[in-house]
Amino acid sequence: MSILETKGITKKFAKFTALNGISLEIEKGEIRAIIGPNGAGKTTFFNVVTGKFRPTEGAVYIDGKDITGKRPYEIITYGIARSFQIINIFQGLTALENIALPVLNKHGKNMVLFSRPHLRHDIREECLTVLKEIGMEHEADTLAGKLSHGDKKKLDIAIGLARDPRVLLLDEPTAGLNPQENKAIITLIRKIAQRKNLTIVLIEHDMDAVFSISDNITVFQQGTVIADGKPDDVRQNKLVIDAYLGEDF
Amino acid sequence: MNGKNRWVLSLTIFVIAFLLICPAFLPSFTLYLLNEMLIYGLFCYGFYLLFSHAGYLSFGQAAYFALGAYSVAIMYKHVTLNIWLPFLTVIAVTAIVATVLGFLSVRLGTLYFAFITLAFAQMIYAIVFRWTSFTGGDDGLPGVSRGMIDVYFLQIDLESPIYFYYFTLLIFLVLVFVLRKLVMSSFGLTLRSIRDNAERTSFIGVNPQRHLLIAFVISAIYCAIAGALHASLTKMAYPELSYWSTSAEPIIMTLIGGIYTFSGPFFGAVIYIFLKTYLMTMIGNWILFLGVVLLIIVLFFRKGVMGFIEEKWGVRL
Repeated sequence: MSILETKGITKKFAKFTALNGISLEIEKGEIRAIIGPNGAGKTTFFNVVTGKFRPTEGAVYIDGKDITGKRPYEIITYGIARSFQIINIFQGLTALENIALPVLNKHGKNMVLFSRPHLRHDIREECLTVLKEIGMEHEADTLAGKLSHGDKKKLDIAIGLARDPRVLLLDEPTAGLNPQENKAIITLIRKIAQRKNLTIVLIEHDMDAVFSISDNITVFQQGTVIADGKPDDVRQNKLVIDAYLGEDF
Repeated sequence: MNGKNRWVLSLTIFVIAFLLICPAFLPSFTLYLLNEMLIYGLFCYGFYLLFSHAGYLSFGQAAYFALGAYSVAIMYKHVTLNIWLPFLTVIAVTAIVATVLGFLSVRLGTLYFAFITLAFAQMIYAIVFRWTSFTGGDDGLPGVSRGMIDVYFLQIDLESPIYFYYFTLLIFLVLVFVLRKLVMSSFGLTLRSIRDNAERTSFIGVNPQRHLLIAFVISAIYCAIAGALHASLTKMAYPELSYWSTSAEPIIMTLIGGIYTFSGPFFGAVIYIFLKTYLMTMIGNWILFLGVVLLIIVLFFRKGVMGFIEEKWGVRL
């Protein structure tokens, strides 16, 4: 059974149809890329899956369980975490605190009123392990707002990762990065993909990266799926070449 | 512990020691002022939890200040002078009202929150003003008692200014200590994550509205206890306690003291009440002067007086 499945998702904003009957099945452990021109509905799709938007029609299943219309803070408990296209971190908190929040949540401790489990040794170690994984343990006490752009992007991913999700949705992890930072993020994604039982769904415009790391690629255009398959099949698909990749690719 | 931290700790102990021994030598009027400062300090801490940590500016905390004042006034008058039941009533009534109004207020984001809390406070004002048989209407409830502590062997009549001062000081110290624990806790950290980025907070698995509601109720209880003490100190409960200008006071005080420093709310209350009392006797139109003070704070000392000192000395106060 696929870990994440959507059936006929349609999302309308007033008269504009952003998604038009998207059905996808994503297998456990795969790296799935979603590509397509701007405005194709990729981010809207993430927003529906993670509960930011309620779909107009259709359903989302994780591991066969229907999670359609649940709120973001409920959906994450089913093991779906995400990062954002535009950096979405806690700029006024330290890098470690950014990670501590989801880690505390995993242990059900955001509501602890009078003690500080985020300073407890085991929780702190857990946070540092996540920071180590993204190569930022030396920045633990830096205010997130003062980090470099590349580090903010990494932290955004790590906030999603820290809660040990089964599915991690990455929305343009390399957007706005210089080539060096870009390479570092791709290496990082490869690395976290090694995690046991982690499925990654990735929206990305860097085609070299997409075709080298994904197991399967889904192509969106105007709110529909126009192609779906192995990188080599997608690369040769006439529709995809016309709509997005162009002749030279 | 490094040198600066030790310095802050000794300063804290000095302030507490001063507050403890000062009734021995302060004249009664000054003691009354100090008592008022503690009460407004508490009121400010209620406001501070919501504003400085959760990022929600309430323009209606006077509603709870008045609720506390009237609850305690009515309980003392009609039920008992022993403090326990009246204060439990204050907490219970406030918790219920704040849960309902808070539930409706925290759903719409920070700007609407400011307006809706103001609207609810004005509603409470209208009720207090009109419901003459219960609240005394325009005249308020004069002659509020200060209550008494009555447990088995111990009877203390709080009418005495010194005893009442110590009663206030005890409540103040306990509640400030509790608040300190609260803002340093994981709950406090999560509140600050909401202040920073409420959307992201919900994507890590926290329902921001639930956290905000709890902060709202705690804040309201702090304001209500301050209001109850205020009614006892001044021996009056009157409609203006719930008026919007009363809601503005903790905002101004906290701004003066420093919104992002823990000691800011209290020292803001101290400075404000000091200025108000002495300037009012010196120059009649002190509100004008207050305007100038606020202007200076906003233009040059955004972090408030305590925030400014923190920055200069590199300590956390």
